[in-house]
Amino acid sequence: MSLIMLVGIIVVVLAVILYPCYVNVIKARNSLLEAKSGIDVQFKKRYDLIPNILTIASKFMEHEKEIFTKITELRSQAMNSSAGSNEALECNAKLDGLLSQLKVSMENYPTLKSDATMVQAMQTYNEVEEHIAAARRFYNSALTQLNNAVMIFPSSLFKGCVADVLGSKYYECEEAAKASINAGDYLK
Amino acid sequence: MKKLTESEFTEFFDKNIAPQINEFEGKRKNLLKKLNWITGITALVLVALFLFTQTSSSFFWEIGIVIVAIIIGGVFCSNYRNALKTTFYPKLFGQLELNYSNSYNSISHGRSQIRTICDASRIFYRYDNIDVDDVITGDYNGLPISVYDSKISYETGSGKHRHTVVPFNGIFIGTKINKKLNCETVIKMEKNFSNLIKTGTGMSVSVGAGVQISFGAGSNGMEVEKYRTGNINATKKERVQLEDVEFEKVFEVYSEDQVEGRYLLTPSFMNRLLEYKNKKHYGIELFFSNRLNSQENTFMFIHNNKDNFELPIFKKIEKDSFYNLIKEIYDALEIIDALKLEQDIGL
Repeated sequence: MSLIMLVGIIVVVLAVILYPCYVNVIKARNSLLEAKSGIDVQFKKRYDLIPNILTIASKFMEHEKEIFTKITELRSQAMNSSAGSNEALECNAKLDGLLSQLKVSMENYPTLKSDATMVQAMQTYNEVEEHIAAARRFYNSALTQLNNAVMIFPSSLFKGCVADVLGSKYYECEEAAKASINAGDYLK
Repeated sequence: MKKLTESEFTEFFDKNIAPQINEFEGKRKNLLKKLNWITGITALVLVALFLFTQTSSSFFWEIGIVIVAIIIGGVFCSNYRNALKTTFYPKLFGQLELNYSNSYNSISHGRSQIRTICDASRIFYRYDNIDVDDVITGDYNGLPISVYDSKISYETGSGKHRHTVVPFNGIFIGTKINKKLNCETVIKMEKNFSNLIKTGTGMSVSVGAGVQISFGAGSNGMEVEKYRTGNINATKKERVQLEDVEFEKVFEVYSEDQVEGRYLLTPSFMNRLLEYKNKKHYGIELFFSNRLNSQENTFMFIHNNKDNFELPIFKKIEKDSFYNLIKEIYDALEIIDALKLEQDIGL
């Protein structure tokens, strides 16, 4: 067997083994990008919904102006920062906390809670939040697949092809959300 | 649907059902007499054929006679069952504020609905024959429900190897989940799913969507078919890999949208579905769709592998037989409670 033929066979065998690995890594990368953009789509829905909620709530909650201002500022900041950037993620994490705080404050305003437009707005808000949670779970799952792909040989050989997304972090809840809940605070 | 306590049921039974039972007991005894006559005459003819004919075609005559006897017996049984159902079931299910029907129109509608769902979901590899026996409709916890006792089957193989495969035998439920859907999602049993079912004199194992291993009185050993599942990918659905390892061992999820798949399958929903599966030991397959022209958007195939909502023929009909029917419908609808489909709490 000539050397050329031997080299040819080795090249073909390597291609047959390595090409699926390459495909796998690229698919994982694209899936991660899709998941990331999925979160942005859901955040966009949230940004669109916030002004409606604030407009309705401000009619009833005159003493909560401070929280409204903070939410509005963070919303503009998040909208102006580039999608998927660390700044946008940070702003959204803060928005999570403030919106939850606003929801709790609403409990003190029975007329607001029973207002038909508010009920509808809150239903939509809850749905958007559920979609955000689902999009984050998709992102974490896609990131796990990518990490597995780039850590396991032989697909790890193609690590360089996905350098742009390497080092992405998992979504984790904020420290404040991890704290244990005191039911007494809600049952006053 | 209204739930009846045992004492409420007894009161209803004594007033509305018991007076007509004696009439049906007479009919049942007549049916048994007819079946005895058919068996006796068939046996005599077979013996006569065996003794007085020596031709090679006599074997086929014997088989033909047995088939004819089974068909005649089946027609008698079916007429009796229909009369029983038409007389008692609308009253019984009406008491639960549900509608019962086994009319041609309802059954055709049931069949076509199941076929539409099979086409859209591709949960099953093949679904040539769809049988629907009983149709129960109404409301449960404020949700619309359609419950069909149904069986899906198809013929495969040729010559001596021709046999029937039953990918589904159980209860089909159409209802509504209180979530806004934008696309289609399928939850199907993992490919190694299997459960024992009894068919006729033999026994067969129905393995997931489309495989059947049978061993029984007539078969020499086992017959195993290659695992076959419907081509879900053809419906543009992609596998959704979920984080719950235990859930992933039992179910496979496919959706047109990865986010919507997870929006439906929250961690607690997965937990509830798994708990239900482990408690009942039934296979369950679900299909969510916003595209079907129906007020229902959630469709469930519960593989309980039995002929549901039937009263016994070979023993006297008693109060317990009717109470068992009520328990069967409670049992079927327990999945709606278990999955909390009527709630939208975001969990």
